[in-house]
Amino acid sequence: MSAESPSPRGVPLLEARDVSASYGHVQALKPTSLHIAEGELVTILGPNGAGKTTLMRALTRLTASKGSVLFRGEDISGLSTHKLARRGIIMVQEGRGLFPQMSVRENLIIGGYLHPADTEEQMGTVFDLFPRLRERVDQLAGSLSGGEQQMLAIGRALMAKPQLLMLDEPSLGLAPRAAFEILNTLRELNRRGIGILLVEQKAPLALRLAQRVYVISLGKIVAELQTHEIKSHHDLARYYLH
Amino acid sequence: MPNAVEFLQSVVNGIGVGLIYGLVGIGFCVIYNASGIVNFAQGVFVMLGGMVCQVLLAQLGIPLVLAVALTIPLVAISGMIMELAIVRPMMHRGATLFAIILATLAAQIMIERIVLLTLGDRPRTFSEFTPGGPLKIGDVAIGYQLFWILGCGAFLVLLLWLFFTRTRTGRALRACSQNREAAQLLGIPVSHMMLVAFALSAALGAVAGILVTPTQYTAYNVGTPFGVNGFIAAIIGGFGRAGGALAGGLLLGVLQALAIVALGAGFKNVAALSVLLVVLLLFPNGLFAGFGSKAKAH
Repeated sequence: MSAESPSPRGVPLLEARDVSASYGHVQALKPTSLHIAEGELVTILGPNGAGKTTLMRALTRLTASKGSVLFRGEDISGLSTHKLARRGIIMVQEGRGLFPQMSVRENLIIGGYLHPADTEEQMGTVFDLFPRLRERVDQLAGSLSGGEQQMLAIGRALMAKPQLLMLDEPSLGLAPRAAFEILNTLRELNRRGIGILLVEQKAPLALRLAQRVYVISLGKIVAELQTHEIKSHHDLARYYLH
Repeated sequence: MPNAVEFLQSVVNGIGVGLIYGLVGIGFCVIYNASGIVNFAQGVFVMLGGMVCQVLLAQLGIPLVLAVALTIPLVAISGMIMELAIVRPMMHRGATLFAIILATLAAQIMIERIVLLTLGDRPRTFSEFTPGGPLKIGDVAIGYQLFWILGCGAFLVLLLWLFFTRTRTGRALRACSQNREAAQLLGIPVSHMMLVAFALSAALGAVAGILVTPTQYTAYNVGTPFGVNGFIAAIIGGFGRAGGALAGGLLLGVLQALAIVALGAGFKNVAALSVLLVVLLLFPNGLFAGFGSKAKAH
């Protein structure tokens, strides 16, 4: 499902060094560094307004940013958003970012814009993962339920054959069961070798999936932990595990 | 009051010119959907279509088919130059949409002056594609060129529909119109799509200019009325909806023709602007957004 060409041994899949971003005079993201290893699932936790979405937008160049970003050791800081997608960095935006006046099929076809020859095969893979989308294939994306829309958003991202899949609040607005299903699917995708960077408000769910956690507050990363370590940080555990 | 023949004749004439407005209106929609920009130089492509084709036919003696085949890409290139030289640099420098829209208006004036200086202010025309006519049905006369306008217009609309629903680039343009950020995140080069949109839009204007010139004339300054009426057609149809713009153009053309025959030529623009006002009052998002949008607007 993801494009092959793993990083050289020891080189992170993605490494951000001192990435910062501002909206006008307001620095929403202070110089921030993070890394994701090949096939790793990393989650970013933090309260509302902490800068999680700005960090994701800065990494994908939707928001202008400073600092450097390396992908498999190669500097990709100057690349525009669509060129990052060509490298295999695909983001599912907060709010899903679907094309509401297009059908499920058309959304998926557009998802495969970079790989038109593989569209049918890739669509089959997506339908195997989300059978509900096959039933709704000719329905307009805007008329789907919230859970189905999120399935479509992830399915569409998979059409682009991501090597690194970034998701911003995929469970936002979903019923607990739908959120659980979506996050389980992410676990399955991660098992298939896709690196995942996940911003998620439902911290207990996210922590069940993630191997590592960054905690962000007031626009900067304040902690980096292995998931199992969070229990020994009583303040974080109290805040995020209950 | 016009009699039945005058009424029918007006409807026929209005359909012809309305289809031209519709094509110009679709041109507005194509650029607006890809970029959010209202290209006020849209009418200038109609003028260029007629002028370039006339020059190729009359001054260079090129056969009609070849002249048309050359005119459309030449005008499409002018649209691409406008995007590359004016719109893209302004966007990269963070200019507001309002400033860019104003710049397209300046581009229209500049292009008009260039044409005035190089080709003069003499009105020009060329022969209808099929000599002879008009076809008489009862007392209603239908010029052969109207059939060309209707046929080419319908064919063009079909081609556009196929382009937007069946091709990779067409789908990508639609994706850009619905969510530009999401399109970028999937690898669609939005700036390239804008270039395509300007080329397509200019080509549509060129076809409209080539089709309409034999029924009237072209000159350096005919772009403005076509641009204004095409803009009104697009608004009537619900800005951004290609099918709506076409229907808006037909409605506008027919109403203008009826206003001319019923009230006099001076009421042509009054009719257009009155229709615009009524539509905006009753359907703020255009006729094809329906009554639902009226309720929402409240």
